Amino acid sequence: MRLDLTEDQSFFQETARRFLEVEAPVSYARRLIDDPAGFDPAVYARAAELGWLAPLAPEDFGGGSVSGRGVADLAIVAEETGRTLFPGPLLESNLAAAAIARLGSDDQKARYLSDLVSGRITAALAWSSGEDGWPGPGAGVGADAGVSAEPSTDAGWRLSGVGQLVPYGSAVDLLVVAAILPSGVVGLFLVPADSTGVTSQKMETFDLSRPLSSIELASSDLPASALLGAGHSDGSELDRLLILASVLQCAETVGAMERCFEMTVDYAKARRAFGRPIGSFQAIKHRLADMVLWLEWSKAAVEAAVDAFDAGTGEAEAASVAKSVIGEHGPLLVRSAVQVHGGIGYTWEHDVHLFLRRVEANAFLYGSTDFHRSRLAGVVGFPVPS
Amino acid sequence: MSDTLSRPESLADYRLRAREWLAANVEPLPRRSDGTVIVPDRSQPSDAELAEARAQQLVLHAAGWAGITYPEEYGGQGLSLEHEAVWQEESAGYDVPTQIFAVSQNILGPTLVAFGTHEQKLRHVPRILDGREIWLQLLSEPSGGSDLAGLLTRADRDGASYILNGQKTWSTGAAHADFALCPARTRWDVPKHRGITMFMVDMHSPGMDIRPIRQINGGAEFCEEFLTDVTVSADRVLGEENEGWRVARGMLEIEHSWVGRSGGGGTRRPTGVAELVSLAASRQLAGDPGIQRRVAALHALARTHDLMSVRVSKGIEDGRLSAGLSGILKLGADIVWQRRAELGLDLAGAAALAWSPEDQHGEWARHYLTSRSASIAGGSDEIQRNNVGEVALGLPREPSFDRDVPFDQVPHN
Repeated sequence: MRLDLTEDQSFFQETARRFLEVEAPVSYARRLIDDPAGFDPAVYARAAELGWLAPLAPEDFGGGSVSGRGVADLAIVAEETGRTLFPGPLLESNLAAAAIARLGSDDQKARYLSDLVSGRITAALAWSSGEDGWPGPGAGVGADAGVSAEPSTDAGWRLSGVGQLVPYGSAVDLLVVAAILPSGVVGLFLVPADSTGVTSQKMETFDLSRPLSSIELASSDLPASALLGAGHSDGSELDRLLILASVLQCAETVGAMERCFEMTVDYAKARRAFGRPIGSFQAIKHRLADMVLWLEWSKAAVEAAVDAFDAGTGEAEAASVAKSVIGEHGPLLVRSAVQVHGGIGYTWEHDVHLFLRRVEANAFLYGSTDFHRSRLAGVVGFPVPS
Repeated sequence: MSDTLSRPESLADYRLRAREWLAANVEPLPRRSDGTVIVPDRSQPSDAELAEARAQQLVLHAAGWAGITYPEEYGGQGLSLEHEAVWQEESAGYDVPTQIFAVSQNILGPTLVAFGTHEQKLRHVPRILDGREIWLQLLSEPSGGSDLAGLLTRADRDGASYILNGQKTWSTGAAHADFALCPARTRWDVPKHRGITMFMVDMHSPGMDIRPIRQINGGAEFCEEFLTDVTVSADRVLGEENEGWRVARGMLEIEHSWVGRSGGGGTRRPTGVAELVSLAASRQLAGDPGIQRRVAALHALARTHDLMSVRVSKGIEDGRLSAGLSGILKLGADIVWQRRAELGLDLAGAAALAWSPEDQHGEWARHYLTSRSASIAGGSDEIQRNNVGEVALGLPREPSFDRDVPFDQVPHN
């Protein structure tokens, strides 16, 4: 948690933590592992009542943030939900609302925003071809989005292709699909999940507490009004959205790391071997000290990325810095957590593997660690092909 | 009191004022062809360099650029850590005498401020800030560095004085220091932590024999000291008699926090990656995506460590985080430094194994060798991890064989 929260933000954070402890502890996520939707709409609706879908949406549609800094407020939610691996397309629906709020026409806003904010509908983002967890370098011209869009005969669009790694893709109402336009630029389309030609396949997933689907669009015909931000043709808006996604995901990862770390410290104090708590052995103690360092680095990286996004300067670099640091040290932390737990940490019943799965998976989604390091090459002064 | 009523200067204005003053008053440092600054190594200053540094420090102090976070009462500026960071950023490209006074002003001075009497502070702190006095710490002993409280140097009361005998080692810059904080054992019949007293010792005292130690990097900025009947007046105790461990712990926390925040003075621990990019280019490796990613990862980590240091230092300062977390500031800084040095050695490759005398690649060999001290000096990384584990996380200590035993019954080296 940040040390510089305002009073309102602290209240918002405490409310979130209490809600999750009561309504959706890790045991709740565990119960939903084999659930077809992967989340409970009733619990999701109560989360929406707490304002968790409002920070990036305009007030006209029920949106608004407690501090006036929407990304910072949403990062609080992401961190708290990371602590209990809260199931539900929360970040995805927030990102969809942010995209529509920023790029949408009046009709698109009127059609979707209030319902997204109130939790009546949910959304997911289908924008990855699977490689690097990102549509392509810069996500603009020449991006590899997996789906292509062609003008259809009735002045609409016909989308074909497959979007991979779509969180809750088989359960949401609205898909935000990244598709390559004839110009070569990636465009974002608002595709109701029940549109003709749209099918989803729920995949077997490494991360058990967040289902991923593969979305196939087989010559799916959409009206012209499905294209989001028709006036933006250079792909920079998609890039911005992806950066925002990676920042919020980093906040979620830090929450998961923090909770996993707390469990590990508690275990090291309680578990005894050779007549004393295992946390008294330097082999364990030093591991835990390293975990503190990795966690504090990760927290600082998220804070900087959130601040950069809210300030509107240097957000691309700060997000890639965070993904680089957290993509390296998050996995180190959860692997150590399993190790300190010993045999019990290798059992299905213990929660630590759920955190292991989430943190390792997040290191890949929204741009792999290597991918984000490559994005920083130009920043540190290497010649990069333009 | 009028200062508290006037509107505080914003950080941006402060930065501007620092920038203008530096440009008008200090020589810029030379730069390499790639624009990176060449920082002169003043770890073993000559007498002339020392005199020049002191003269320069007097000017800096008079202009208000010394003791930025020190209380105004003792010659400081009473400003925040952020102001200090701004000054460090702005002055990084200038020939200011940071290195010579680094330990004195960032570890010893703050320790005096925290534990000294008003008289002790008035007498020394202003002189530390304007460079008339250089202080160092005499902590490690040949019998052990990590087990600091197991020190063997003795101080025996003799009327209004103490007589110190023993040996210290690994002290930074002892050859040109004026005073030291030196813990010594005043009681032997109590457990080790309870019989130590912290003394303010004049390094020019009779009986103080200082000898340089040659290090693996070929340099000799560390010294060992032989104390033979060194007399210290009883009013030169910092804190109370037999309470020296508390002072030593406080001093170590100050040190770890500073090292983590600044990398230890900014001159000793370069963290930028511009030099690595130039090195990669000179070795025809700049287009290698794997190399690019390794350098980018280091950039990300170094930048994040700086941010984390500010976050955690402030958290400790306002009591929201455990002081035991100061260990991760140093631990992280050590990792960043060593990772940078290891990457430099990797990239330099053959050129760091053998180089012609006029070639710069020898820098990377020496930088690497110097970096090995990071995780040993100033409290080894293992000791930092113990502190983090025990103080910040509340993990139980390892069972020890000396903790509650009178020190004269403890076996030692």
